[in-house]
Amino acid sequence: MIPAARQPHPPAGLPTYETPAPALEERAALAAHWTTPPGLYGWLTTANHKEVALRYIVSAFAFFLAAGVLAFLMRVQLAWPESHFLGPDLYDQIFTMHGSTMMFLFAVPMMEAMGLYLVPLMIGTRNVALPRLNLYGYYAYLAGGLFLWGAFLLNTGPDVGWFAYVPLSGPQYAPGKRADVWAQLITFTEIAALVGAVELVTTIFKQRAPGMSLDRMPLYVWSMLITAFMIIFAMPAIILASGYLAMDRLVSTHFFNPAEGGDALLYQHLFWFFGHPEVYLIFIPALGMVSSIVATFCRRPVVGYPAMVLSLIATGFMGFGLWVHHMFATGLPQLGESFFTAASMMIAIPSGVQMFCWLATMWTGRPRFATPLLFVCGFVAIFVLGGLTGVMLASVPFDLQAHDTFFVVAHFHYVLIGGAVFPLFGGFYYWFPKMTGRLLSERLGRWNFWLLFVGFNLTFFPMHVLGLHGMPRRVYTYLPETGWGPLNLVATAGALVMTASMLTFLGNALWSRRHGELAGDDPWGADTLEWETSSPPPPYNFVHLPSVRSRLGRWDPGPRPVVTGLSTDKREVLVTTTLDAEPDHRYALPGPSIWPLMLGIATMVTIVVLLFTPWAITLGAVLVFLALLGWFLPKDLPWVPE
Amino acid sequence: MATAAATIDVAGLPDHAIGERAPLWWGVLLMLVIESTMFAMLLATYLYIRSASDAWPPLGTPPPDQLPGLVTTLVLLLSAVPQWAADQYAWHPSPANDTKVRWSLVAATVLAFAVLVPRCFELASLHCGWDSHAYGSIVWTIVGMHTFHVATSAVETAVLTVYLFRRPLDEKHRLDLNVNSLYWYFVTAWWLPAYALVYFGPSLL
Repeated sequence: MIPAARQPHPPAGLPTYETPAPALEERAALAAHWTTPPGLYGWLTTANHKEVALRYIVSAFAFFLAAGVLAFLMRVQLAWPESHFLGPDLYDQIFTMHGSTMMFLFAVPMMEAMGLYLVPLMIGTRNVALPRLNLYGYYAYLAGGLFLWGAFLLNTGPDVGWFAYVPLSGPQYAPGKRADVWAQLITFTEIAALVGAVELVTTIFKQRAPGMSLDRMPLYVWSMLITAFMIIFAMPAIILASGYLAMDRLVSTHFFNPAEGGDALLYQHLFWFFGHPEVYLIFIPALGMVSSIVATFCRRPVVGYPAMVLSLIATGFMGFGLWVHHMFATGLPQLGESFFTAASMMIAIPSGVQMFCWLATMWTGRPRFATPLLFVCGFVAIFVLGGLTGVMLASVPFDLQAHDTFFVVAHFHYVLIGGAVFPLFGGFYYWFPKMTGRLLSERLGRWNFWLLFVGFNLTFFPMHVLGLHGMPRRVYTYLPETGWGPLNLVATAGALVMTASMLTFLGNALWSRRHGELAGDDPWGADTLEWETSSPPPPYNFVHLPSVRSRLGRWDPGPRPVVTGLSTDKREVLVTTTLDAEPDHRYALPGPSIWPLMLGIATMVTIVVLLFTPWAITLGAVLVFLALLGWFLPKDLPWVPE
Repeated sequence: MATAAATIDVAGLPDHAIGERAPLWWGVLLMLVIESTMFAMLLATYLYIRSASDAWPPLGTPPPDQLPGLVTTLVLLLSAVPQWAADQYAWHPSPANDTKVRWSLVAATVLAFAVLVPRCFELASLHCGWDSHAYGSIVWTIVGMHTFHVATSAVETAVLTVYLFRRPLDEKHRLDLNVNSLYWYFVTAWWLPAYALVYFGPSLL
């Protein structure tokens, strides 16, 4: 039934498709219209989704490393009792910066960036649907990151936790600007995340290759589609949470002030209505990466496509019904809590279904344990452990014991690092050749994996025990009599090993970019369309857009016609119907523009001024209006500058 | 492999589309989904704060006056008509229809800005400030957010109107008109539950 499963590696005789005419002229014409102009101006104005996404990936990775350094500093501080390496004030800033950076500047942006790079290639189109908006999203993100870290370097880094609960973050208990910096960071990352989500949904719905009906989409594209929808429904909650907080602090509203009829728990509801789906919108793209890697390295399609897709959708829905399990210790009615216990346990079902589908794929396939698949195996082991402690924490009596202890820290690092960072590194090894044209070193990759796997468990496994022994989170030191010293020292040693792993990866990436083995178009013999073009892909992605005729994608042995007739004298893409991906019309995308940068600067100025005065809204309205006018007015009007 | 089967020729397809066939339409729709979620949560905040309070509005604050809010709502509903007309005419290009598009847009712009006049009276008739108490905060935020959307959409319609009096109505701008109307329907539609809550909440909840 599945011929691809029996193909050797590299598969013999992937079906080739015939290009209808000598493509040289078309290549030249396409390159002339799609290539980003050279120089700084071209760099600032690019409308190429791959250039923007690569910048996104590199920036998010830089923030990942920076937040990792903070984590290491925390581990040094906690290595032994009564340490004074970091004071309590700096420690508060550091754990807040670590959490905020990892969640808002690394995890979600990185996952979206990978999607913005890969999805257009995987669905066989030339660019994202709204390329200038895409660039603006990146600028908003970058501005937010520089804003947060600039404030931190000026000793104004937020110090109220990555969740910034009121009343601690409210006007009464957090004077100064630190909590405002947190609230406004959210504004930047909101914009960027929502822009990315709209890009992804629109592109996936309207620009798929002919024949790629929804039920033939690669699982990775499904996972990004569901993630994008989750962003769209989850992020508005934190727009309001951080917006109310900023207003309480800046213009004396009383949303969270119980003395004037407000309610502090309202904040927690809004925050976790976003915050819990946030975990899933980090984790679901990773599931898509796992599916891609498992299929390619086991030489067969993932078992149970409908079950996989339905599980992803179920996870997406259920992710919105769990938020109260972060609030079990707040004294909510017990009947309500039991509903959320049930929901929290139920979400283990779709995750379990997917896990078994992957295991069945490996069992019935012919796994080749290259580095990407090693990371997937690490993911399976670690994520299952994190899932098990998740089921434990879903029970209210246990949660009340473990709440705010290191047990919770251990749990969510198992879920987030196991569930997202391991697949992400697998994805780096898998797609690096597509992005750069060269393979990462396998030998260093194995070191990278094993150091990370051992270092991770050494760091975080002891935290389970520490938590059960009562060690609280977010406290900068502890007394020797507690007996927590030895396990903390082990955890810090683990952090050193993880650092070595990250340095290995960095070295590998830097070396392989120049000297790695040349990859060719398709080093893995994979089934999805991104491998149908050169590595790295040309600015227009495909000379002739490909088509698919089944879920097998490139592994389908039948003839797959290519698309001809798209104009080569402008940036034209093929728009297909939403459900069945039948060719519908052609559409010219806009090219490079300086106005996304201008709008980004307008946003940045508005938000920085907003730290100090509400009149920033008025200023911002004028600046944003001018930027949008420049963006939308045709350039041949007499009063519009070039 | 026969060469005939090796290509899908799309040269004959149109190079523009309007409505749900167009990617831009989906982009705008998704933005409206984002905003609608946010507005739903604004209204949920109102109900949440209500459930945490004894007196509603708080003692010493009279409920809002009914007249300005009613006028705003009626003008807003009326303003959707020329928006709808502009959209309808835009779908069927002809010189006569293009003229109708332009004059519908003029009416839409005038009515969009007209909404802001009773709105000013409305804000005064809320009988509290945003810094008076949590009731004041949420009522001001609901009305304020709506006003912000009315204002931005009014400006957008005005810019589009000015542009179309200087330029022929091409395919690209038919789509812009189409999504501009979509946005305005949204601004009109979400005000109805907000209006019900702000003006009838105090007596009903």
